[in-house]
Amino acid sequence: MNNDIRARLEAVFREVFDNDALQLTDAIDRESFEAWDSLGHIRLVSAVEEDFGIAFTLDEIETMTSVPQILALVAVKS
Amino acid sequence: MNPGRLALTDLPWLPRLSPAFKTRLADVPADGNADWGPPLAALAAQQLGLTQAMALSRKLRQLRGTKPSKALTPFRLGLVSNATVDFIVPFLEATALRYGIALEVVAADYGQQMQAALDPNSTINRARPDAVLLALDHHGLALRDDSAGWPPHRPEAALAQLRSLRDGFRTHGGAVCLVQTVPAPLAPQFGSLDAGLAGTLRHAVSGLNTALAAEVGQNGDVLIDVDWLAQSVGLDTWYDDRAWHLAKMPFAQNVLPMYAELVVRAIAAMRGKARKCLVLDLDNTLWGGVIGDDGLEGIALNQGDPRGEAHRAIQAAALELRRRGVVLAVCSKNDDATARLPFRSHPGMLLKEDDIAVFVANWEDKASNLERIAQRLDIGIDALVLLDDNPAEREQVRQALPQVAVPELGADPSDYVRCLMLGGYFESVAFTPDDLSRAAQYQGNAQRAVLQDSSRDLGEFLRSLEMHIRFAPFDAQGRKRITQLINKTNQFNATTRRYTEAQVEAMETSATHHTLQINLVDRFGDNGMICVVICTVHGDAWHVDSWLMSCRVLNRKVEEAVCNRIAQAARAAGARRVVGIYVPTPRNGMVAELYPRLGFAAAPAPEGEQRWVLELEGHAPFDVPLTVVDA
Repeated sequence: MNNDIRARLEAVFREVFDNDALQLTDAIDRESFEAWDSLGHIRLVSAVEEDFGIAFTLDEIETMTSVPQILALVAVKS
Repeated sequence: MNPGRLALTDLPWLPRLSPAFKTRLADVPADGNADWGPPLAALAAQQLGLTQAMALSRKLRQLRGTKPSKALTPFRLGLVSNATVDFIVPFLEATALRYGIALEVVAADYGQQMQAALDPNSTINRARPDAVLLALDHHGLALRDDSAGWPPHRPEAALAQLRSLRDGFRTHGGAVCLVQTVPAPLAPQFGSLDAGLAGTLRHAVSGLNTALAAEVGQNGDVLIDVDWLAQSVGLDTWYDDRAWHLAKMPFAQNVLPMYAELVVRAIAAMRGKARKCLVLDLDNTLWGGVIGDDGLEGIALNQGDPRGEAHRAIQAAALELRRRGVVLAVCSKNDDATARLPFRSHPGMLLKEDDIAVFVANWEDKASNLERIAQRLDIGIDALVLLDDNPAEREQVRQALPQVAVPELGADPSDYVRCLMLGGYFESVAFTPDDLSRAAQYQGNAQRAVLQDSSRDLGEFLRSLEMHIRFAPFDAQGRKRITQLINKTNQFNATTRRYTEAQVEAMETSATHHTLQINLVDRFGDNGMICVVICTVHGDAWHVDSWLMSCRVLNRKVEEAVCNRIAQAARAAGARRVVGIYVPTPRNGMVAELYPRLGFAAAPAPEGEQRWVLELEGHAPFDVPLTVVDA
């Protein structure tokens, strides 16, 4: 189940950041990943919501700053 | 909600995004050696998401630096907004490609609207944009004033704010403004009472929009009816409060494609890119069924029959388009006599043969037939829209003639009218009496073409047209149409100099300008205003600053008659020579030989233009088959 979420999230990251070679590792976070700027964040949040059919609150959006955090949040909500 | 229903936000008239989008975009060479315009325009002609729009915009910026595209019209747009524009800009650029425009957006600094307009040295004013988009909503307009108690919301201050911005950009940037109407608020204050109670936001916004609609067009600025768009997608969809709080996005992300369409359609219309002719398929488009198989009794075209009513609605929409000046043509795989049968004998037909300017029914491929229709009407392939229920025919035409607009249609004819009318193919930024008779004029063209086929001698043919040409200086009645022609004529346009309505008005009384608006009538009808000339006085020489003409009156000795008139007027004013100016652009190659053909001699010219001189001493006028009428 978690692997399924990870694979889907990887596809979302690839689409949003327009990079087909992107490997979704736990090390990816907003600090280190240049394309993940504030507008990239908005696009990422919308794309995750659309793909998984869920909605995040403003508080949750603020905490979604790394791959593990997003995975955990998606697992709880979906 | 019906899950199968078309959604305006998806732009359902466009083909779905191809899975090959990414590879095709990567295949467009980045060195700029080949013209990158057509492949980018083709890629933009499908349903794009934000990712694709951003990728197209990146590619466009990359390639623009190498070499300009000859196929695309450049357009520089200033952008003033009280919201985040980072997503709007790539969508505007990608959407403009769809309309054959290489758009360059110059955005004002966040929160610096007034400075951007009033400071002659602001980024936008210095860029000398072709237009400035005022993308302000109720967050950015002075709609609320609590100082006097109730009523807090009033339109006056917001109107004044918009007037200052418009004046500023016109005076300091020489730009036309695209002014947005403001969407109504979603949340009520009192409820239904809001609509009629002065002081509520709903009441103030409604008053503002009414006032804007009345005044924006008067000085040549253009209204972008964002209020209509918000209502059409639904305010519940339009407003995304979280996106506003999070990133100051003015509306929901999924409305971006349609918003960009609305803005770019106006820009495209300003540059004369609106389509002129609707080409209709017959079987299963104008009527249900196949006339060749089902016969007159079998086709669905009657009131009371749901299928029949759906097809009649399509005919009614086509008739409405014809009324406002869009030319109608028929292109059908049928025998000619069979295809005409319903037009002649079916009581359910709303369209008559007389409404159709060119009727082509044969078994040849549609692409060749469409080329024939354009030729017969004397318009470009890129002025055609094909409405055809058959997916295979649509695909063949898109492949063979990518310039033709072919709206995507679903399986249900009930959706055809929406796809056609919401597709924005016939967008217009002004409506003049000339537009009203446009369809009849083109129909006259088609009849003239038939006459030309049958009369072999050109001189004889031209005389048989019984042409009357009318010359008049610029005046208030002609002002709108003159401005329209100046700003949208690309092909027969010697200098492609654009002037705003205010500048045109100033020329009416200028002592150093000699202007001509020229109308042509012939035995097939009134062609309306077909030519505009602006001459400026430089000592004993007249410079032809602008000479532009409608291509539909080419090869009729109109140029010679106009040249006679310019020479005669210049001589009467004491000038000794007329200097013709030609500024080459990718689109105006057809006038490269205009001046030498009229007997002008080559003269030295500044970089980027050619000059041609006609000495008036001893110049003999051309013998022309037109009767001159003075205003």
